[in-house]
This record gives sequence, C-alpha cells and structure tokens, in this order.
Amino acid sequence: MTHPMMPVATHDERAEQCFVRDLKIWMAEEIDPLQRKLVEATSEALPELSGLDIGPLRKKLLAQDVYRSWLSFRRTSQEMMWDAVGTSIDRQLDELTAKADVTEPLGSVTINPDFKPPRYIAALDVHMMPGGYTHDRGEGDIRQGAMIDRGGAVYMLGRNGGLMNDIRGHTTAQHLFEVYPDLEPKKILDLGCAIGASTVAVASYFPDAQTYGVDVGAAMLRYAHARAEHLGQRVHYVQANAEHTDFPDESFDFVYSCVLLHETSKAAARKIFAECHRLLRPGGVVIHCEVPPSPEGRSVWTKVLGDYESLYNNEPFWRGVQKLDLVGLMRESGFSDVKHGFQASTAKASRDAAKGFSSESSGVFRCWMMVSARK
Amino acid sequence: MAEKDITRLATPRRAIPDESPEVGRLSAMVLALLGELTVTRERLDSVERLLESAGILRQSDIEAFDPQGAAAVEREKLRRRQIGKVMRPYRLDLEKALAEVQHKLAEADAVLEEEVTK
Repeated sequence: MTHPMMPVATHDERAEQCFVRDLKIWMAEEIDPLQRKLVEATSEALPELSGLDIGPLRKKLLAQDVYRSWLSFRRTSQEMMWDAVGTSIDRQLDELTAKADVTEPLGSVTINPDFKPPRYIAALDVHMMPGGYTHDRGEGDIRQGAMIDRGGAVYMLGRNGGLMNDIRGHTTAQHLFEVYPDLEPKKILDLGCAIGASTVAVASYFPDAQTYGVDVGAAMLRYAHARAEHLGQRVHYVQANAEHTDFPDESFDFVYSCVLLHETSKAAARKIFAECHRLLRPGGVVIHCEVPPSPEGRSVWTKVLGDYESLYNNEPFWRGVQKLDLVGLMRESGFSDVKHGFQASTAKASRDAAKGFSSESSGVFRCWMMVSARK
Repeated sequence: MAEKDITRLATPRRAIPDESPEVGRLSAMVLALLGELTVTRERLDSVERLLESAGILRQSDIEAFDPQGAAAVEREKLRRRQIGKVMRPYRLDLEKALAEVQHKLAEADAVLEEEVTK
C-alpha cells in the first residue's frame, strides 16, 4: 500500500533504490558475520570493555584495512541511498509541490518563522541525510519531507509497513488498547512526528479526536500535512520543540512519541518526559515507542555497530539512549506505575487482538520497546 | 550569494582514521559503478521479458544466440574497448613505470656510447 504524496520512481530509479537496499542487505548477510568474527577475535586480546567507551578496541580495529573498508562501504551505501532518493524527488518536485497544495484542508500546518532547532538537531545531518530534519527553502517547500518519507521506506527495507512506514504507529495504538483499554482520547499529541507516518496511523483509530503532531522541520511538516490530507486524516501539525511546546497545561488525553528519544539527548529526554507530564490531563496516558535493544545485550559486536551509528551515521545519542534509565526518568517527571516492555509489531491495531505486550524482546522489527504510564 | 547546495552531502562527514581519501573516493566510485551496472542489467531484463510476453522473442533465443562473421568481430571490439576502459589506470601506471626504465636505459646507453667513442 502507498499514498498519493509518496514520490514515485521510474523504472531505473526503482532499480537504483532496490540496488541500494539489496547492497545493504548483502552487506548485512554476507559481510557482517565475517566482520563480526574479526571484531570478536580482535577484542579477545583486550581487557573487558565497559560502558560506551570502546576506544582501545576501535584503535585496534582501525589498524585493519578491512575494517576501514567496512566503515566506508557501510556509510557509502547510506549516502547512495539519499542520492538515489534525492535525484528521483528533484525530477518530480514541481508535481509533488503542486499536489501538496491542498485547497480545502481538514487539518492544518503551523510554521514558526522564529523557530530555532535544538543543538542536537542543528549540529548534524542525522542518518547522513543531506539537510537533516530541518532543511527548508521556505513557503511551500516540501522536499525534505519527501526525502524522509521515500528514504525512510527504502531504509527500513520493507520491515516497517512498506511505503506506509507506519507499523510503529499501529503498534503504539495496540499498546494503548491493550494496557489502557478504557482511555477514549479526545485530544492526541504525537511528539517528534516527522512526516506523520505514525500520527496518521494512530489518528485513524480515533476519528472524533483532535490530533496534533509536533516536530522541528518546516518542509517536513508541510509534507506531513499534505500526506495526511491525501489520506483523509485531520491532523494539525505544529513546528515546535518537544522539550517545551506552547500547548496549555493538561490539554491532552494521550501524548506519545515514536522513535523520538534516540534522536535527542540525555538532557532533552528528561525535559520531554517532564513536558509530557505537563501536557497530560490527570488520567491521561503517555507512551514512548523506541527501538528495542539488541536481544543479545551489550555484546562487543553490538557496541561496534553502535559506534558506527554514532560516528559515521550521525546518530550521536544512539548508544546513549540504550543506557538511559527510562523508567526512572519517567518516575522523576511525576509518573508512577510506569510500564516498560516490548509490544509485538502489528500493521493493524485492535481492541480484540491477542496479548502482544511482553517483558521479553522478540528482536528488532518483530517488536517495539514501550515505556508508558498514566498520569 | 548563491544558495549553498546542502542537498548533496550530509555534514559532518567524519574522516575514517587512516583511510586515504583516494581509497575512500575509489570505493565510492566502484559502488556507484556497481549501482549503474545493476540498473542497466535490470533494464535489459525488463526489455527481454517484455519482448517475450509480446511474443517477439524467447529467453532461449537469447541463450542460443551466437553471432558469427561481422557481428562476432563487432562484439570482440566492444569487449576489448570495455576491458581497455576499466584497465586504463593500471595500463597508464605500467606505461609510466616502463617509460622511466627506458629513460634510464637510454641514459646509460648514451653514457656508454660516449665512453666507447672517446
């Protein structure tokens, strides 16, 4: 399934995007197991590594030319993905821009011309996506949103709901149905909504509720608005910092985020939790959906992969978020009875579905990590 | 002032320690070439399948196709041209190394010639 705003690919563009996807899969399946053995053999001679610092191991690995090639090919495949997607979008940018201009919208998009993105967003182009989350050419520009939408679908390699890329949203709704079945939200907020893939998925279960989405990039939010309109969902998108929005106290019944936390910082995560508490009315529910940590725990290979993400895929908080005491932080911000576990991935939430929330992770893409609480 | 084109390269782009920029560049070029080759091969596959479904040819016709005469000569030219293109950097380095050796030999011969004819 796709949607009308999704950039379309010609025969050769599709072939190019599939090539990048398959190159990434080939690297993961054919090269990573070998590279992993090399990493493990290299680390055997070193004392036990603790925490995030893999300095001594990194130094030994970087002395190996095959390791340097591994870093290089891995990053290059990511850069090729953005190049392939960007070229295809630029070819059809006029048509996409025209399509984004919806005459009688159900929802809205509110851009703040004085908005300054937080430092962890402004300092680097996350995921090596040129222009990052905030690139904007002004009035009517939607290019960066199209990049995130198409690129995200290629990057997730079809494991997050294909071109809809919305399994996280459905899984978050499932968590709500399963753990807080009595909540009938009238006002919903998605923090760090990006192009609104999860926002629209969650909104689809609550057609009578007012749904808001907050994020940092103007072009991204304009695209999110157009995407929601073409899918017939009424969503209000607002450019704001999730650490401190302008919404009044206790104005939402349900506040959630999908893979927002790992794109922030330790200090910001704390502020976001506090902001969720401020925004919820008593009895309201907060859910944060994140990438589950690797089931094998903090193996040396997991650390090396994390090191790559942080240094060469511009994900500085990727490892840090996995060390955060999310439950403790939630309690600090005023929530009691915090739930922490893993919700089985679903493409369609239902109040009648079998139990899918567990304390055990079934692995990345098979489940999503949930931290949730009622105020 | 022209708008800085930030849509081409992400920043920051950390250097991989001890990787020479030349090797990094070359790796990226090889992957790009592989990408182009894959796209072209896929397009050819589309053409073959469309021709087959239109009843114009069968896959087995392609497998059985073995050009003879002038067609075979043209094929060979194409192959040699392609090999020459890809192997060009190696050939250039080899030619350069050879030229240096020949230059030294010529110098030695010149010195010898002078001594003999003195």
